[in-house]
Amino acid sequence: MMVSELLAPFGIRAPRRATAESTLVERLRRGDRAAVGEAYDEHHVAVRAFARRLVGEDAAAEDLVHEVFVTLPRAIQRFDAEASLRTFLVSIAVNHARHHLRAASRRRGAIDRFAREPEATAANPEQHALRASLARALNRALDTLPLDQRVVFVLCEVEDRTSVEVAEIVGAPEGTVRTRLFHARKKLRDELEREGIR
Amino acid sequence: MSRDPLAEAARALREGGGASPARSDETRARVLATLRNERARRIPLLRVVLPLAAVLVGSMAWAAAGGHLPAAVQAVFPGSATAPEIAAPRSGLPSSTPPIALVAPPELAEEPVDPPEVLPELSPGVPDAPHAGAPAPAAIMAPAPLVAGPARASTTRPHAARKGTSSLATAPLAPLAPLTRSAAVAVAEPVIPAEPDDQALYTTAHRLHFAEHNPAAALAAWDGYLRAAPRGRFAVEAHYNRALCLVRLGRAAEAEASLESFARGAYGGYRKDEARALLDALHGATH
Repeated sequence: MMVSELLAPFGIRAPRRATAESTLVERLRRGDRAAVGEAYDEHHVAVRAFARRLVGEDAAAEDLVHEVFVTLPRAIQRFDAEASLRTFLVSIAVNHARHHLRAASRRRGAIDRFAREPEATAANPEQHALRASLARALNRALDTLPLDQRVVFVLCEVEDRTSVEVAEIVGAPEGTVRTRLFHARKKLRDELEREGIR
Repeated sequence: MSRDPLAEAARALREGGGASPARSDETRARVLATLRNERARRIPLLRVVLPLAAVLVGSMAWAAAGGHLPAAVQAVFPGSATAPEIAAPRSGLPSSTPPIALVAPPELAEEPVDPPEVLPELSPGVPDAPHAGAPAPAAIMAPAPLVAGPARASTTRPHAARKGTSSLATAPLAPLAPLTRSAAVAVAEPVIPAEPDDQALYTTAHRLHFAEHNPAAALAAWDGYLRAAPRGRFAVEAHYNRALCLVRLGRAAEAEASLESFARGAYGGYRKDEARALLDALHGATH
């Protein structure tokens, strides 16, 4: 567990040392384009994973990642030096997700109506198919949620982030985050039950 | 399934779908290419826009200093009126520049009527005419489509006028004459800016006219405003609105007399087409 997570319940932030990250942030602020490439190399996996979980589709996730890093040189001007760059990048993704989410959701609806996605082969095909089916069902259920509830669910439940961190990303109080999570869980359970998943 | 299906589904979602290195590299290249293109677009834009802006600012400053600034610009930047002759076009003709739309509070934004940029020649009064007993046709009685302007206007105009007057106090503006008036006469008669009371009168008249749709009360209110500020900044607008009230009240002859000057372009292009259309409608109704 990271130091910041241990200190978070006490409202104490771990002191940030002058790391490579702060140098990177400085270079980003100065408009150094190579710094964007470095930020991408360092953080794209986390951003991409979040984007994929949030929008539920590879192509849309790549587009969202692209947008996040294209926006970064402008957005970095309002970066809080106390926060982590990765958290900041995820918050940019949240802010830009709406459009991609809508497009992905439409495509998903069309695929569900007109075709079935091919099942991937795996060492344990049955297990894999079950998990893939569960993930797809959850994606469909997530499509029924408002964006703010969806973001909170993905950050808290899928990405296992603390509510402090989620509150920082979405820019809302922790209490609001918990409320959104509560409603999201309730709706998702109902949706999954409707799909016959109990 | 014994465990929580939602937790299972969340785990399935967590474990699925990592990006392939190829996709990551592709996206990385796309990000850098987009940034490069944005930068490439920005540089020529700066090279073009900055000199243009410099030329524009320089010529505006020169025009303001030399008194060549058009009335429209002066209305937008009241502080730029540094010389008395700035307000009057060189030809002495009223400007046909469309009026500047200002934001109005929602309750007064309905059917706004924009004031002209210039102060017109004000007729001493609308000639008395026999009251047309029969009500005007619906098309005439409802002038909204004809006068409908942008859904922004009016109550901020008094503020704009006040703003204008503050700068005009030190440099009084020459009135802008209609087509029939000579430039010399125009220069001789300064604009009388509306007083704060006039602004209240204007606001009341506007409310009665466009919010409460009470043409009789609005007519009295417009008359009150015109008595208080016969050459105020909104006098032309008040005259036009007064004419609309007359149309609504069925006083066709008086309305025609008021609208004639607008229709023949005495106030430049201000409400010229609308006045003409209203007159045609009135003629159609009376003949």
